[in-house]
Amino acid sequence: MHEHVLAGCRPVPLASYLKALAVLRLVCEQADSEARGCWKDDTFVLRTVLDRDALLRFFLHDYAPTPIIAPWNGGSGFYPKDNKDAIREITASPAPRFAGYRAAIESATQILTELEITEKVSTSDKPRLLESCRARLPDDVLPWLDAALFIGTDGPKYPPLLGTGGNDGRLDFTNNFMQRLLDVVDPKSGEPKPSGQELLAAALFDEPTDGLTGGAIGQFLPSGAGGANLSSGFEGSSRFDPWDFVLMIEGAVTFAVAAVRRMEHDARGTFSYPFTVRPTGAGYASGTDADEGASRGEIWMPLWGRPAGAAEVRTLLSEGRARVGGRTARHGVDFARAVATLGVDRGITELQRYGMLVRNGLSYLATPLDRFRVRNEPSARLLDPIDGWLDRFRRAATRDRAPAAARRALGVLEEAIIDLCRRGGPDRVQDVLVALGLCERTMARSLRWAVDSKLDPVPGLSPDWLAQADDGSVELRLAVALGSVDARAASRRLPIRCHLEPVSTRAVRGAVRAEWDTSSTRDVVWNDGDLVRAMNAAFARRLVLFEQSGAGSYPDSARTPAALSDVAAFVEGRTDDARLSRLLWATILLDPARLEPGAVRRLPGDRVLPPALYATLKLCFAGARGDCAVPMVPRIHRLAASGDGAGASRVAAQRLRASGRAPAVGVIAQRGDLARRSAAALLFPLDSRDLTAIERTVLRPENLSGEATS
Amino acid sequence: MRVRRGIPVIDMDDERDYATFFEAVTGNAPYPYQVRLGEAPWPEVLDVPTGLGKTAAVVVAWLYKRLTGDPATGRRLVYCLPMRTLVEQTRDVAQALCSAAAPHYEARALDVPAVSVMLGGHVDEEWEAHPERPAILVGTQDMLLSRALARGYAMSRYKWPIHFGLMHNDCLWVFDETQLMGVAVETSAQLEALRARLGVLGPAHSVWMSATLGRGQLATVDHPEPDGGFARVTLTGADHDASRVRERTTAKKTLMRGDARLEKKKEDSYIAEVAALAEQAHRERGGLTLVVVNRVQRAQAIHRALGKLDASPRALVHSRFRPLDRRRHEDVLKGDGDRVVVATQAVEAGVDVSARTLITELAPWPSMVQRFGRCNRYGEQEDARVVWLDVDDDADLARPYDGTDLSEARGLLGGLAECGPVTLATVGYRPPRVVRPVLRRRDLLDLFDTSPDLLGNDIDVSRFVRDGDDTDVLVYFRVFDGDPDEGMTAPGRDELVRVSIGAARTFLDRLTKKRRSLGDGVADRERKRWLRVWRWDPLAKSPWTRATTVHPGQVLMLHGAAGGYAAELGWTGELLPKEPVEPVAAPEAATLESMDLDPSTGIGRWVTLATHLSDVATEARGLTETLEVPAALAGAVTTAALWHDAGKAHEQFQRRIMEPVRDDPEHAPPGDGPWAKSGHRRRPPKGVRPYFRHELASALAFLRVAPDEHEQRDLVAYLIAAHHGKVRLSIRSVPGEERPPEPDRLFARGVWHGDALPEVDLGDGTPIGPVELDLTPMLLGEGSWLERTLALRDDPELGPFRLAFLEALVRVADWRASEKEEQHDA
Repeated sequence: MHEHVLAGCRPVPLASYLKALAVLRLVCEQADSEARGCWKDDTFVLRTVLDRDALLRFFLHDYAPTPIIAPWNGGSGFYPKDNKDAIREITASPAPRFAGYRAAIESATQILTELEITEKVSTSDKPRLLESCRARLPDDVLPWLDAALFIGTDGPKYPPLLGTGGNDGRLDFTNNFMQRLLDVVDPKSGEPKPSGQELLAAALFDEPTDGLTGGAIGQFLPSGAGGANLSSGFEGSSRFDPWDFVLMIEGAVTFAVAAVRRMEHDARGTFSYPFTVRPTGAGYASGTDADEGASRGEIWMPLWGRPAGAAEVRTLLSEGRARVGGRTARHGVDFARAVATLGVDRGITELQRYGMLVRNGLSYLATPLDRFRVRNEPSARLLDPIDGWLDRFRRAATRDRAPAAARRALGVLEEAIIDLCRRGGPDRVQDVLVALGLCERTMARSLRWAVDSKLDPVPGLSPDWLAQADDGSVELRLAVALGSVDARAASRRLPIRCHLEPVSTRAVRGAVRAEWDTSSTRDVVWNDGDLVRAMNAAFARRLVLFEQSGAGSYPDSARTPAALSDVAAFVEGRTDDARLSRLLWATILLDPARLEPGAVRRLPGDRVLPPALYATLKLCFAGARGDCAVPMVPRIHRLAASGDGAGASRVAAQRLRASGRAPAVGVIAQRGDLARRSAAALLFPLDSRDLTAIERTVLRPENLSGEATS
Repeated sequence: MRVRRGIPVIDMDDERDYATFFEAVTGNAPYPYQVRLGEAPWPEVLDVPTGLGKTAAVVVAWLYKRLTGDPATGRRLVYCLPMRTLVEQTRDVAQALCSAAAPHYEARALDVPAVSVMLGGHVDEEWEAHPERPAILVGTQDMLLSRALARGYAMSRYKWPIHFGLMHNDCLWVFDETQLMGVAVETSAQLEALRARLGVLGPAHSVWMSATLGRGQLATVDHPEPDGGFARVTLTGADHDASRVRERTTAKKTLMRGDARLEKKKEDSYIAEVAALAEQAHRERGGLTLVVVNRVQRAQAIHRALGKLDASPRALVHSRFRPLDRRRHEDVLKGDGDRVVVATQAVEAGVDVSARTLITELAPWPSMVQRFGRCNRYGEQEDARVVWLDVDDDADLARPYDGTDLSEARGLLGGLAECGPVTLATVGYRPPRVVRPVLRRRDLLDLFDTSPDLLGNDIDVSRFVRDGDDTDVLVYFRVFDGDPDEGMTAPGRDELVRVSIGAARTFLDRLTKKRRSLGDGVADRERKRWLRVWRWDPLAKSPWTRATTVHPGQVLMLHGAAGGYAAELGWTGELLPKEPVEPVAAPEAATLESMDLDPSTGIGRWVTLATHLSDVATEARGLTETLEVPAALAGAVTTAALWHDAGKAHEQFQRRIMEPVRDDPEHAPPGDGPWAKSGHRRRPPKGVRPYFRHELASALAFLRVAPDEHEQRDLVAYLIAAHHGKVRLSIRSVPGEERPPEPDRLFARGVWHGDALPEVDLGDGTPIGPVELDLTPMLLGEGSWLERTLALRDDPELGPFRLAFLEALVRVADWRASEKEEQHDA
């Protein structure tokens, strides 16, 4: 048994990847049925009984080419205006290795004659021709046919890998394939041409050669294709090893989708092909959303680490699909998710992602994008429950009339998801959360678009998100606490999010569902620029609403109260407000019905008490404490929010005294930011123990409430 | 006594014997062609006009050849027909013949062949449990070919391989009325060729019966016409001399052109004229007056007009009916006495009626020939008359046909004054070349893998089963308050009416417009609710979703009050009719077997694993002996049977059946186990891994234990794994599985890499194990499960057909043993 490290067969570029598949398939089918191959250190390794010489000899002398023909294409050599040199020579060749080819050409010619097709086939006649070809061409042509096209009930479809049925713009792969074959094999004798061996060694083992030839290679090898600034050295023309082209096309045949294989329609009624998805302009450095419209697909080429035979690889490639959350992966981001949730066949170790991008006029180029290692990343499964929404958002945001902000938000989200799938970790989970918040904000700010696009708010997120996003940061804890603030005013629920966005919420089967509610836009007072101002505005609005509803004392409650030391950090300006603000847009999405008080870890250690001003004010908005309910005085908050801490504390002290809860200190002369932040911090919910702690520091001992002292 | 393939052979070589047998069974002396069919080897083509006893010819020949042990005659006669009405007729004939032949079989101590039927709404399953018994399976091309393609319609997906195996091995396929089968002919020809190429166990042969079978259709890429043509049995001079044949083939029918003519903008008067013409014929000439028109709407209008003329009894036959309603109309058509029936081309095929007067619109020539065949069919009418009505040259009027086809037919009709079979045979008509999809070898190999893809999608074989861009939508009606709820069942066959996609879209548009025009009042709100279209989406959170667009093949539910349908007329598209559509009784909720269940485990009695394994092995041995399966393969089947449930020793399985009765002494097992069958039918307890498949554990254990040099190792492992039809060519986890805590530990179907299978007694005294289960075969690469199963599929000694047959044997052995175990107490 010999192991050949085929340095010429690498995952990148695509032509090189396909070459590896060709070598495996052809050796298995024609020389050594027990041969196997796998990917090791970014190179294809072939294990076979053939030694190096025998391997080369096989390709040079014995390899019988797959009859790759496309009588349905103009330029294929079957029509009067076509270049017929190669097809003529193969037809006339007595060499046994071309026997299959000759039979195929003969059969195709007969079909054309019977259907009375003499010119390049018209669009209306094409389905009949294709169906006839599929029905009657010899068995060994079918894999090629099935790789190049699929005959659906509503006309032919073309997997992106082989352009449109075996041609790419005006370049017909089949005619080219025949010409390149004849570059290396003499049709008269069937023997290799003199430069053949050297070129073959170059193609397989990456050994240097100078016998390169002219021709067109099409989409598979961008650097080898001609065109301005695309190739190095050969301006405007392209020169390459004909074996590269031959083996590339032979490799593409491995992607034969059996015609009856599950060509299921996805939601948009388009077909899905193995390992092929719609493009996503995210996840690679030069990705822009402009790529999406112009490109025709992404292909994720699987790499595997255990030696496998051709039959198994063929099966993998003919039906392999990626599964994400119970459906097919439809675009690049889906594929990344599938890879991270083991939604691809086991044994695939990595996937090389390619985009088929239009960057060169008619020529579609296979651009290597990036590489994904298959690994189980449990946090990637967090997305499964909101899969439907993700898909709808994606569709809406990629439509022509979608606001630019939505497109940007989608970009951020997809980038974050791909990153999460690749590496995992709390930071990455937080990034996705924040991106979801951004999407929510975008919808809320472009409400007309969201409603017209039938986009609901992001569905309630499970607490698992928090468990996986928890990085121990103050900002996350505060955002969670703030996001869970809720109250009932009259018959209405007043979650904090209704100040950020026009929504109403209701409980549906044990979960809380948010819906757009344009009747409540007056409550939306949030200004994204300045968190403190926004929180103060929200607090003020709540006070108005509570007063209107006749609440006796401040009624807010929360599933996850804030920790005192965290509130202290906020009041003292030790938090990253921008981050907190971004996180808040995410934490309001957490489904409160499923949120538990311990959803985020609190840091053990001393309870740091917040400044006295905040503490005093808070006691005026602490709701009912024991049998004492301090009535709300909005003026207290208004003064503090305007920066007048002294004024606020004076009124607060009066109020508390009147309620029989006199503070130890009357006026606290804090001004400016600290006062404003203290006012904003009133929005943070505290639990009873923390309120008691505040009472202990603020109130005169004799005024501590019964409950608190007991 | 000689024995051939398990059947004692009685000498019946004397030429008279077949004729005697035929007459004994049918009560009639055979035509000469019937004798040829019974005595000569099976032909490929039986070219005899309908009505000359083709069915009897084939069935009696098969009965006779089975009786006499003909080695080329398969144990199962698969009788394939294009439409359900034909299935029912054929079943009756076949049943009568089998009963008549029963004494001959009993005299030789042979099983009497039983007749099973497979058509939409009625699928017999008994036969599948008795692969050793002779059987006649009569069915529609949809039912039978879908099974031959391992995607059987209207059956459990897990039984696909069984029917596939039993219908390709040891079979005689007969295709009747092939001119109506379309692509099924190409598919059947390819299957015949592929069986020869890929190999089967026992004989397999196909006979195509039609007077007009296009030769091109039968000669496919892998089934070319041999030099000298396909073997053919056809009428000879001697047949033509038989008086019944002569009556039939020389039946006369006067042909004339009617005065009524379909013209643009004069449709109303045309309808009235046709109705008047039909009413007159009905009144004056009697018998069956059959009016055949090209479009459903016109048929409905004429039917209505006949109602106004008080023509009775009358009926309407077209394809836009619910099956039950259609049957009611067809009963009138097939009844006796004077009656007038308006029909569309739906009546062209299969319906065995003989009109005295046929009035037909111009149609393409092949359709005209079919329609003529419904008149004076048996040559029994003295004054049969055909009136054809011209259709103006206009694309709209010509629909659904092509104007040029109508012109051609008009030209051919021009010179004819009579349209009996003899005359028609002289008309020079060249059928156009039709290109149809052809099932190729690689397609079949693909179909062998019955697992849904990663997402539960299955291959759609319909393009190989029936012609046509079948762009119909299926609609059914229910009456309900508010929105449909989850408790509502999926529609039954008898509820469904086929509606063309165009008609469905028009209706949906009108419905939407109407809904939008309604106000907010109480009554309007109620009506708005009726005007919604629903579809069932099992994957969605709430299974009922509103349908806003229409795709071919969709199944849509309408509120009865929304209308669109009338039992008397079929699909009308009439919105909010006075009489709401009365729903047909919905079926009981279908119990679909999920991946997670093992319905055969709870049999009401505890059976130890060792006992069960040994029972199944015994059954398998018996079956393979009766069927004379070659020794090596029989050995594999028996070994697989012995091992098939070894995985039930897995702690997960034992917990599944033991825990539900832990605190219930009444149902507790009578010993230590391990157990294969349980005395209860309770659901598995919480906390066990969902989707656990014991057969995967069995197969993995076998792979670990079987020595490398075991020649049939992969085959046995495959047969073990496949014994519920749930684990076959590939091993994959399914969504919703419990994942092991270790992120990289392999898992599939509830089996985790490294799971321990305790020691198992295989019932023959040999203890196996304990075994550590190795899931690495699920990884792509050398020695993988897929590599092994593909090798079996592609092994020229096995191949898909034989493999499926062997699978079926293991499973049948399992069923039988389980059944016996279940009845043991009783």
